[in-house]
Amino acid sequence: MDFFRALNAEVLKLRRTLALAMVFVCPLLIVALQFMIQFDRLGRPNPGNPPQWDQLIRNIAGLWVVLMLPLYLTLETALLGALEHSESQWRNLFTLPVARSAIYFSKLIVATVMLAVSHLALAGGIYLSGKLLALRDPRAYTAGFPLAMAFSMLGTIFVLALLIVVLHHAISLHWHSFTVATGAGISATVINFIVVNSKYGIYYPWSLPVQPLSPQGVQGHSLIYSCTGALIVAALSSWHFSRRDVS
Amino acid sequence: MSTHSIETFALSYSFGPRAVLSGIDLKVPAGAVYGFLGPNGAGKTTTIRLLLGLLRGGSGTLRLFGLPIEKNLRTILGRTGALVESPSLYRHLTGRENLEVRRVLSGLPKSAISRALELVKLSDEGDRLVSTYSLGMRQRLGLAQALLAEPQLLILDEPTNGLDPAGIQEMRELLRRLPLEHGITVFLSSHLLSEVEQVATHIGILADGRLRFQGTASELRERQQQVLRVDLDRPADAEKLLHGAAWRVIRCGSGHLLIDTNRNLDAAAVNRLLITSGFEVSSLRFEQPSLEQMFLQLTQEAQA
Repeated sequence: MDFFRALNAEVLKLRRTLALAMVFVCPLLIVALQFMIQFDRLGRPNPGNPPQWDQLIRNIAGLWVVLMLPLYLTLETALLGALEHSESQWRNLFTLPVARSAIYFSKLIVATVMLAVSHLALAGGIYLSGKLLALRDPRAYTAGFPLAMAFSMLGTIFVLALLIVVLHHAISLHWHSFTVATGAGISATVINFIVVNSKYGIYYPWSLPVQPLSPQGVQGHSLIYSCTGALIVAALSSWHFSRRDVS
Repeated sequence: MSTHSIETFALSYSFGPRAVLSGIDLKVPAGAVYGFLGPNGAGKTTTIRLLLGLLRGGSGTLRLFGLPIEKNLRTILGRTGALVESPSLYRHLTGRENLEVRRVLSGLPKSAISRALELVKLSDEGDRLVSTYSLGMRQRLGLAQALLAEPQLLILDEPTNGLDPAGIQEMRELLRRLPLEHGITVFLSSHLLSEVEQVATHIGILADGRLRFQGTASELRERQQQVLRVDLDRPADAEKLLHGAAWRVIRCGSGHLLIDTNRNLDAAAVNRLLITSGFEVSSLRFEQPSLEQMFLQLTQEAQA
């Protein structure tokens, strides 16, 4: 009961926020970038083989996981945390007859649902950009949209990103400073560029979403690792959140 | 049912090695407006945070509505409204939306919002973004948040901070009305006695982490001895002289001194000392000190 009330309140708080706009802006920026690259390629005198859907999906998903996803999650969770850190909202929230764990998990669910919606926006953007590119070159994207492949790819990326969501959520709620939350995310993203191709990449949370696009595909138990890790970090972080003093 | 809305027994709290509260025994009767006074840093906000479960780890016993706080925090918070320091508001939402967030979290009916806005006279401004509110309007909206669930106990920490004189007056009137019309107990912290003495039925004075006085305003007056007021020239020099002769000067004003004594013999001795030392004494009389003077005296004693 507490949880659903807290969840409802979290949704209300999202009105007019940058965090809500980012859910659509970030994925559609990547789609727009890839659309412009493809648009330019198709306009050349000798554009080569007509592009196919799977190629477009991989190109957009590639840009998304390497460039945008880690930064998007950093910004999204930092903005959600800042809603409460500014004006000391914790004092207000914690003097209400609502379990602190309900507040913690409702915020986490909102961040996770936002990520899911962003992936849906990404899928919609891929479809729309393919259809628009086909107007420029009728040979392009003649086959039907590979719905199963697109959702399998984006769904796997989503599950592999869950551990990152929980880690960023914990950081953004624990530290009052927006700079700490964003600094941690940017540092983790930069480290990812080095770690992603090493043997340790399968353990580094920020490298996990890249796996579906690598030649080896999703390795070992990465999906289980991401989900289990997310549950453990969420449980520990919630326990700490429920016991902390409010200054 | 307990006759006290708040009771603490030997409540103590430390930040590391620094003791912030030492053995506080608060007794806030149900239906009272309790003015919790003390200078900045005396421990008022720490006490309020302990009362609301925002801080843990204090020692002693803490009961609200007769219930120990450790096992009944949720029940207690359901019957308590609080405004701690500045109001916590979402600036990107309207006043009404801010109350809606709180209403949803507390599981209250929709009618609670209009009632709370009306109570703080913000009905016409409810649909404006909080970012466009003045400081006084934010403070009133914070109070509306605290009153939303029709609490039995209202805990307010420095509620007139940032309010203009008209806003302070409105807040006073509201605080007077709440116990009479709604049966709410008000626990009000402030560092200004003048702010509290007009509304409080009971007063607690906290200084240096200890409760120096607790009772009604008239009990506070009765407790204090009269002071001797001496009108004279060069009061600063006279203060030094009296201090050297072991008299306690409560206040050194422009052209007068307030001295801690209430016996005629003492007055005569003081007069003699001043005259023989060359001061021009124009009058001596005993005065009942104002609450403000008593407050200053009690808190200065603690600091000394």
